[in-house]
Amino acid sequence: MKEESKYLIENENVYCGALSCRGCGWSLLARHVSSVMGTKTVYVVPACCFSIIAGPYPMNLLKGTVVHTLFAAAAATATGIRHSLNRQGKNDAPVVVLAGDGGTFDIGLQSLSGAAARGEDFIFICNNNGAYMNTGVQSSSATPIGSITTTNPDGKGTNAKDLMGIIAAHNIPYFATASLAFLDDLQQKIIKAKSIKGFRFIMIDSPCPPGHKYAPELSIEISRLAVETNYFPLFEAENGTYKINYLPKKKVSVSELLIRQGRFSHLFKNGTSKIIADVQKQIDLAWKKLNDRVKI
Amino acid sequence: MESKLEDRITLLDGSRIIIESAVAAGAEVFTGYPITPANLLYAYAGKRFPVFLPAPDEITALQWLCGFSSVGKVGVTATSFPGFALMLETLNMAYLMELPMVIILAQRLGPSTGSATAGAQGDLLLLRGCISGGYPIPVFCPADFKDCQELTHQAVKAAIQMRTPVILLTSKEMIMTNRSFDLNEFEEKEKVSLKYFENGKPYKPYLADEDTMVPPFLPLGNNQHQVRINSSTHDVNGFIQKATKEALDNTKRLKVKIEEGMKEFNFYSLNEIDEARILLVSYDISSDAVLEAAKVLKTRNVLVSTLILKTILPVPENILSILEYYEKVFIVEENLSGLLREILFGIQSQSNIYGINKIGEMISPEDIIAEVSSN
Repeated sequence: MKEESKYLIENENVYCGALSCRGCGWSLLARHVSSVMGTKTVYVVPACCFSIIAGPYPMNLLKGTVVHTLFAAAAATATGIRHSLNRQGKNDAPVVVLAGDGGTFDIGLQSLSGAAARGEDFIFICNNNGAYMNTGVQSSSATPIGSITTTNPDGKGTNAKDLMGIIAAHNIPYFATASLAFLDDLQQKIIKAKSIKGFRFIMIDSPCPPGHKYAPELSIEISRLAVETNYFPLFEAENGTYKINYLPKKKVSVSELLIRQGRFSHLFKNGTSKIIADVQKQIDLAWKKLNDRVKI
Repeated sequence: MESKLEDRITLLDGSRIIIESAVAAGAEVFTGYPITPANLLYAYAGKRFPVFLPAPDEITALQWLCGFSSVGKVGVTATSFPGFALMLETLNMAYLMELPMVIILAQRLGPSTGSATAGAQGDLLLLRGCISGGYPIPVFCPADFKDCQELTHQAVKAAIQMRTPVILLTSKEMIMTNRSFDLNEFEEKEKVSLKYFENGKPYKPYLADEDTMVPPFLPLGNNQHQVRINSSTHDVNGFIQKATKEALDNTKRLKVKIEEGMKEFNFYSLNEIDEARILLVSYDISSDAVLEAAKVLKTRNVLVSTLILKTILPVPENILSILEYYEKVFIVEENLSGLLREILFGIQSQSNIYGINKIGEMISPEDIIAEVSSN
């Protein structure tokens, strides 16, 4: 009983209302992040689903200070706020960016990279749901190969950008992946990120029932499968030292994950698409590379 | 068998008409980036354009169009103020390079991110000044669905004919709200083609035709002539120059090129009522309210003429003489300070010029009737 209860939120730093879709990962994520980060935190939110979810009163969700900024500029806005807080002696007020994949992988990448390269002292959290969901499910460079979006109605033909590889190349003190199906791991990573100075980055694999096309109650199950299949492995790197946080007990085929999502349904019509086999190969290769990094 | 008239009445939005018209006019490429309220344009374009490219940001979207345009493929993109703001430097580049393209600007409530799902007419002054130096850029603005077809076609034609970026100005309700429309009102349109330089003489990329002031076009990679296009101040050869006479002459030509070239693209709708001394002026979605208000006022024995502007920039000369004729002019637009009013009449207030303005929701016929009745 005690083991289970530790997952419960100790400090409830969200209000009861959020304007998210059913099964959305954002409000669960925000609840856990804010619980750890505390009410002194300044949240910086670029244009993304979350700018609506934490939007109109009384559905404004977060109890902390919130800055709704521009799509391209979250990390730059956060930089200005961080420096100004420091000059006022408020170094203990954390600054946290809560961005979607568009504001991280695409239009926000330049300001993100600049802040990471300068070693700015804040946490950047990317809630990656793999497309521009808020504006009608258009592909982003985080959209996985094979996924149907409104801009790739036959399925995206290219792989998602390896953003964690890009982040790693910035040699920042801490970066990690996390899943809403592994809340303990998520919470530990936020706690660790909070305890470190410098630029910190956490990528969340976010469930999105309307965009990924599945029933809202399957969000956590599908998030868990993404980890179990090594499609979205849980790892962290502290000062360049990698650690895998979860080792699946048995190998699960990626088709188990893809078949549960309508965005990949076309891959299973007329037999099984070659794309699935390719994705499996990529997953296996990426998993091997990750394991090799851990050994270094 | 010929279809009956009622068979062709359907529900549709302006986005679909604009996209269909752009493709029919010969635009071959659409580049886009998600932004409300332009997302329907983006979605339809993906199904209709021969080449469709989703960009990772608006700077990329417009730079791609410059690339396509410079090799002879005329393109279209669609955005709203936040994205348009990011496009401004590239728009200036396309203007100075003289690259044809159409940018659909779907207005929403500002400033800044504003309200993505609330309409507005707040970007007109920005458009008037968006080319550094105040150079004129063609701006067309559909007032109804028929215009969506016609003016999109004209925008593509103007872009190609004058070798220039052209803005198709619209707003949220025009392009997102479904309305019934009789498809019989659409006309067959001919495709517009980009003509290439065929003179046997050496090609100078910015040596303009003396009549039109437009330089003949040759695509990059044509294998016959060297083509040099330049985003910096340049001479007729496309060579970068500081403020030399030759370079400045080339830059000054851009103003004359648009002002002269736009004379054949003067579109407006004037409904003159005999004995009316009041004129209602508007554009875009507010035009509906103006036309309805005029009808109601007529039943109350208040005679008003209406003027709906469709070529908004540069302001056609004859529009000013129409305005001068009336004792009272009411400018109806969905913004706070009267952007069209300022363009037409300047910032000095005049006792016979009235603004009917509102933000956050559409101007209703009742708003107009009340204002006309109390003045």
